[in-house]
Amino acid sequence: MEYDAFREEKLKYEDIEIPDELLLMVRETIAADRRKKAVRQRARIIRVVGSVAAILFLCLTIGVNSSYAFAETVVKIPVVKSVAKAVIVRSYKADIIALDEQNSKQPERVPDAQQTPVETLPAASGNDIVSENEESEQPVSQEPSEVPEGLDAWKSDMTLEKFKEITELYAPEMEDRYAQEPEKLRTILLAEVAEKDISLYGYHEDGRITGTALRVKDTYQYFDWIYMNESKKLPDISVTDADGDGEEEIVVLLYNGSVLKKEISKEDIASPEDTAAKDVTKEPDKTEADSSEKEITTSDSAKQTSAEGSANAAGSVNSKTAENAADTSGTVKPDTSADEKTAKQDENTKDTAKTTVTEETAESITQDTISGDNLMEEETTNTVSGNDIQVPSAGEEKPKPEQQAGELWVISTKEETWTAALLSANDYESQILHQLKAEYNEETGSLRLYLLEEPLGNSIKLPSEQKAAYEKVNLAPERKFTTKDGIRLNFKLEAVFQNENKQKTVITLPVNLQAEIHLEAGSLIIENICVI
Amino acid sequence: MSKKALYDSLVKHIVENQNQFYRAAYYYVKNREAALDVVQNAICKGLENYEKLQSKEAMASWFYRIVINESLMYLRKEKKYIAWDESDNDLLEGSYEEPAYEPKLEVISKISELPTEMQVVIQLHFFEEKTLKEIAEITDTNLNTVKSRLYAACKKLGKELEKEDEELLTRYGKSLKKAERESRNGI
Repeated sequence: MEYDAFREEKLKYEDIEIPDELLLMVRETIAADRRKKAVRQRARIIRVVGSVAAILFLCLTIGVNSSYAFAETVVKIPVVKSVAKAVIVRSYKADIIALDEQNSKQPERVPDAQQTPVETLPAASGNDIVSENEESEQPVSQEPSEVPEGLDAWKSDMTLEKFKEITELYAPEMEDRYAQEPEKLRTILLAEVAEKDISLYGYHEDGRITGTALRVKDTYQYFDWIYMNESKKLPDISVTDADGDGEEEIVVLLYNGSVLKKEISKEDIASPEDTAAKDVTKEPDKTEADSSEKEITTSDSAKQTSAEGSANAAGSVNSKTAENAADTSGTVKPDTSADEKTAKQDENTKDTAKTTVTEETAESITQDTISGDNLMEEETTNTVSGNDIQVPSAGEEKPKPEQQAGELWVISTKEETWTAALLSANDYESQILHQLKAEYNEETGSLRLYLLEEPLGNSIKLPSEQKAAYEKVNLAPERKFTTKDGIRLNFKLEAVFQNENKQKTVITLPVNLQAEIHLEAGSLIIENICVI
Repeated sequence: MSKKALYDSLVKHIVENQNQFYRAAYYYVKNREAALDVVQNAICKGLENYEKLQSKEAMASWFYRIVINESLMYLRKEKKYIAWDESDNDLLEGSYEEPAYEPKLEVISKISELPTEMQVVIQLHFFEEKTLKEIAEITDTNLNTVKSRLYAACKKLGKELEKEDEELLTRYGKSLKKAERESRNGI
């Protein structure tokens, strides 16, 4: 097609100058959209899982309470049974208990149930399986029901003066030193920025690790954070200008990785060793409640490692992908409320169906069923244990990093009520992986990274993996936050390969990456990923 | 094709053809900042609604349509503003106007006086060298509509030029007639 008269016009059209900003604008617009999608995707997963759980729970409640046949059937299913027992309103309880006793293989359980007065929780806790553990289990099952009360009491007790009196930074050895004076450990100093007079305190009665207070000079505010896990690594606190408005915000880094989350929801807070021990003893039975554990835990060894509190947060963080990432903020915070709910529920239940209900099972399961968030947690846990296996099975003896930061909070103290923004590990992983893309060239065995469609760094030659297919890149477990002039995250990537036997090999890429974290309109976003 | 793959290929398409989109936007709004705004809005809308996209094949015309729609939307808004503005500065405006000596400018200005749907057809056909079928896809109209619009546009342009300038008519008339013929034959 040739239009001679229009040719000139066409040339003019083609000469329209392209401004330099176009490329940048296009890239930023796309990046913003990706971020938005990442956030939305997470919200959607939580919503869907939550509503499904709610519907199931409702069906079960109605079914159990309206039909004897249904109740009878349900009781025969190990996991569902406990839930069913928890949701009974009034009728059939006698029958269910009777059925339960028939099913029971352990006669000790009957006396247990009889011993259990309306008030006490202990005897019921999972003892139907291993009665020897009864003693050690007691404080465990009591814990969740008391956490909110204790925490609330603590909050109303504390005053500015009391906070200011505490000047010694917490160390695990203090547990022994103040064994006789537990009140000294009720409030512990977790971290401080002395020159700015900023301190972070934790509520530590009976070894609890939920509930903090942040004090800036003469004002303080409570945050229901879980401030550490078994590793007992204390939070980091610093100040920096996170949103670029010229005023500094407080950045709190909590080392409350998923080890803790798992223990809280599934077992207990205080005694991970017990859990591990119990798990082993339970193993041969494989009955009842245990089966729920089994579903979650793909391998016992994996479970044990995590229970021992070895830093397998690394392993979990390491392997979660953006797709199945669960929101830590969603899981951690509701934990306490879920516990509360469960506690109440348990009490209600006890009155009606006093009981052979294994408290612990009912608890963990009801919890899961009540709130979608907790189900999410289970999903996360699932991923965790699934991946725990992968790394060792690939024969990689990687030294696991000490403990990864679980949550990053940025507190803005400008207004009278402080606002806190959360960036969880899942959060930043998903944001980063949404912006990065990797292409693996099988012929050359090299991997090339792209940041928003633009090549990033040089292509990386990887050692040849025999018959293993490239799968994806993840964030490597090693991450480090810095808070000098804004918040930055230093991290590495690792490439995952999978061979025919579904065994995975993970290769950490020799590239140091850095991302900036900005506070924008109350949420923390990852920007300007670059190679350093 | 998975959603993710579709999204990725849309992103790729946008990044690769950004200059083309900018030119199209600039052609309509005739202002650098406005054209950037239009392209940005188009990208946002496109990425937001990528799920509505049926297939990868339809992507090019689908996104081009968004760019053009955004441009025209901008013009509509602008028109309101200008109409209001002009009532104040009618005299002032007139005195600043310079006679268009350059014949090249003439055609462009004549085109921009056409109804927008005709402008779109002219732009796509003459400047982007799209076939009539592609234009139909981009504008989401019937092929026959495109033909008649192009025909009407050429005729109108020819008439305008006739009034204005003998020389122009001979220069452009030929190609307009050719396009007219072509539109009848439906190439």
